[in-house]
Amino acid sequence: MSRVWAIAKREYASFFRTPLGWVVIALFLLLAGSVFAWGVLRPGEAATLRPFFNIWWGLLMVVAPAISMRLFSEDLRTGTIEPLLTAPVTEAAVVAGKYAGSVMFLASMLVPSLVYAVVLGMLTEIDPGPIAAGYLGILLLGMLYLAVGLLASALTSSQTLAFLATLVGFMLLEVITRTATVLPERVADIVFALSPNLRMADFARGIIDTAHIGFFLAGSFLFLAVTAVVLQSRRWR
Amino acid sequence: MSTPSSPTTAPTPMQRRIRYAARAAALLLAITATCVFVGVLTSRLHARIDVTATREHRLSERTRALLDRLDRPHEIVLAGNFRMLDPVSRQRSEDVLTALAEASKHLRITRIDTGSERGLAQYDAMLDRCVRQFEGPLEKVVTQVQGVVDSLASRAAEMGELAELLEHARTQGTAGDPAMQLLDDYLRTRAGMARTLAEDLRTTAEQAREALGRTVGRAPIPAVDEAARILRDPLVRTADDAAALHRDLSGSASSDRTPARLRDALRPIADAALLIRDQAARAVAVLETLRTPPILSAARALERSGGAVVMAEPRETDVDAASRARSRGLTAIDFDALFPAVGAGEDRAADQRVRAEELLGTALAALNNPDPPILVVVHGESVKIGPEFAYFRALRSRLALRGIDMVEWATALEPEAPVLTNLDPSGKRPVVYLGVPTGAGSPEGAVRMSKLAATLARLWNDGKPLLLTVNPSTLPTIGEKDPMVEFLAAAGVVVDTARPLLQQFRSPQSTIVTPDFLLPDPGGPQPAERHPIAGTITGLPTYFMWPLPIRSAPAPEGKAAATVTPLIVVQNEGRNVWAESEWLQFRQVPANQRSLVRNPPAPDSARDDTTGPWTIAAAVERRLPGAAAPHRTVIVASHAWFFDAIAATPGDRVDGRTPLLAPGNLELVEACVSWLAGQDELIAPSATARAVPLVPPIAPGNLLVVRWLLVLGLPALVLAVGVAWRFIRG
Repeated sequence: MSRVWAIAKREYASFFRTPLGWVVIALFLLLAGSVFAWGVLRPGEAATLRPFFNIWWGLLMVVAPAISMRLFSEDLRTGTIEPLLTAPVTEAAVVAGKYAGSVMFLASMLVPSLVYAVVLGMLTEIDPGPIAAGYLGILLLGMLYLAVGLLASALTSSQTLAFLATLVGFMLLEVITRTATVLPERVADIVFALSPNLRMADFARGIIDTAHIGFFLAGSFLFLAVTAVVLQSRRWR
Repeated sequence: MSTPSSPTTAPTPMQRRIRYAARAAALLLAITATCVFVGVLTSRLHARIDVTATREHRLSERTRALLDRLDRPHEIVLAGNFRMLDPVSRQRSEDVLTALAEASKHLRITRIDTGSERGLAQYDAMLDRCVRQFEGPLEKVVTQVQGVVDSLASRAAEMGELAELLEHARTQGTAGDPAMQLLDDYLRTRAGMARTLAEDLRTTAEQAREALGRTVGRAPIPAVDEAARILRDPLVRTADDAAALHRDLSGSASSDRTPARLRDALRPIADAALLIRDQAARAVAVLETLRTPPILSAARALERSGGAVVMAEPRETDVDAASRARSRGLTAIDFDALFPAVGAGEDRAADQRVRAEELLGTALAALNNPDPPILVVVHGESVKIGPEFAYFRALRSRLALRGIDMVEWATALEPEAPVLTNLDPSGKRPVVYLGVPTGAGSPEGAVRMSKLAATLARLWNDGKPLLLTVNPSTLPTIGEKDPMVEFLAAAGVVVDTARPLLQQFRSPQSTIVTPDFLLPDPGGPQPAERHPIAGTITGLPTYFMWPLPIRSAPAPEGKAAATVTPLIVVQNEGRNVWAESEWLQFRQVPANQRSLVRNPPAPDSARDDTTGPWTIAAAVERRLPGAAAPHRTVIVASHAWFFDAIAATPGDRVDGRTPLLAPGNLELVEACVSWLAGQDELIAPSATARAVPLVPPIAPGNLLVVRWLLVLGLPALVLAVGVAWRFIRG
């Protein structure tokens, strides 16, 4: 576990060592701020961050691949993956460490956005419950997106390709979800059940459903496990 | 001799790859299976935790109890142009539908946005489906009304023939005979009347046929209710005219003073008039006993702007077609009732979710209520209003959607209560009486009023549930007791019918006095123990004309005082409302000219009640000896507050919709009927029982600064920290 933690800390710090980490946070806050300023902070509208959370999955679709794209691709490109894999750590520990580092970075990125809740709270009476649930939902959704992005990053040495593959994957899932109403009912039900964004809506309105938590955690674990297997396959390929 | 062991052969790279690949595939399969299992398990055994401060996604106890009682499939179809709803209402309605669907496996939710072509097609398909379910009863009603139209057309022809016969009779000895001049005049007048009536009947038949050719909104249902309404009055007139003609001509035909030839001519005319009377009366009876299927009321409710349709499938135990048709339920809530265009202040919005939940819950309860109340309208008019209840048609339609039947009791014509066995063969349905006051402007009117008052007093003394409406009266000013409210005094309830409330508005040019009160929030502030009826109209504009103060007084010795709970209270915060004692002259001025009165009434603390506040509607409960439950009465001390002229008047356009001017009035009647029937669970609180906080107004300049600070300031700050970090850490 200490090795996982060491990798996570190293990975987390690496985000702040390059300008990219700061730029990603700034870009995220620019987009999130625009959504809040013109989507929520409107006199006469309900004082809730719900529309904000309802849109955030769209931001994460871009931001999560930007965070995850370099996790393994950079190592693959520079060749530092070999010493990493020959070090006395398992592939699973490497995956878990890098993933934990990226999740910590995502959480750090969300912290400044709490300013929006504070601003709203200064203007009127707000309900903290749905806000807390919304942040939990965003974190879980981000964890799933990062796990998918991590897998894409492990498959290619090109960061751009990893970014685009993840983004296109998310967009494809979104398009399928949006057009699922034309599919047969049973197929549509499966598509809806697999859609992370639809599950996000419950968190946004202040409902914490253990089924959604289970879905996000199980989904993240699945992609992390596949990533570990992909790394392991490098030994015998 | 030992046997040499065979050497171990190292796996080839290919074998090693295959072994690793197989192991990886097995691992992946196991992980995937585990994840899918966990996903399925958590979706089956999951908990939904509502973390909102007000537990706003949790259905009320009442709604959950109602949903638990559902024992057959139900469907709610919400159809309307959702773009006309504000985002908060849209979101809230979505929440409540989701919560309802989650709470019961017997409930299916369908949403149709009629703002699109596709949505309209879905809406039409839904209406088609509903209509098909009631095809049989609908066809029966249409056939009945069609039969009445044909009957009316035949009566028109017969009336025409009757006119000819009357003219012919004049040639049999009246014309030119001075002794028969009176009869001649009568026959001539009657012939003219018959011709006119024949023409009217032909026109009416045409209008009814046109109505039957029209549909109710987009629903493929002939406007059979409209046709019935068109037909009724001319048929009643035909029956009355024919009856009078038969009576008069029979008298003349049996009089010795009438020449024999004329008598012979009049007898067949009298017989023909009798036949017309009987057939017209029969047609009226068909209209009065017309049992329209619920789809018709539902289609009317949806006609204007859509709404919610709540449907119940027949019970499995109902195997034959007749009982399946009976247990199949359908009701509708119009869009404006579901999402009334009301606010709760600048920084609060009405919580439409609560209202939508309660109304949909009430509709489900109404469908599953085996004993909906019967409302008996008790009045003192000299003629019957008729089953269409022409003056309060909106109320009738609304109650019909809840399965509540309305029956008329004209006390001036019928001393005994109407027989309700055809509506309630088992006698289980609660009966609520609605007392409508009558004027006593003439000796005949005074007699009718005394009959009505005696009937209402009897109902009150017998412990019948009573919704009493009250008019101002001049009797107390001359020292008499007002019989319409006198009986209430025995329980310590006093209605000051001698002093109606007036209010005064001052402008630089004039002072306007009016007896009309449009109360924007009649439920007033939210007390901890608000009466359920008051909860239904909180935040809903409600209109009252000539309201009267109600107060509690000590009950006479030996009598138990009733519990009086104020429902609507008029405050006197601006000191411009008072209870006026000299109001009669002002009342005689037509309403549209009252603002022109030069010296309108003014408050006089010596003779008027100027202090306030005044209760103008109250719920009264009292214990009667031997009764298990308390006797309930509601007094709304104002007249005509549920008539179409007030309750169905459209207000200003809001958000592209035209809501009613006073949506609270019909809500109030419905809640009163449910409460009086002891069906408290069917009372739906209003939208503003809870309010949603809004982003308050911010000066445009400040808003712009805050927005740009958040959009650009925060990212710039992060970048600055990043630069500083790199500078410090190298």
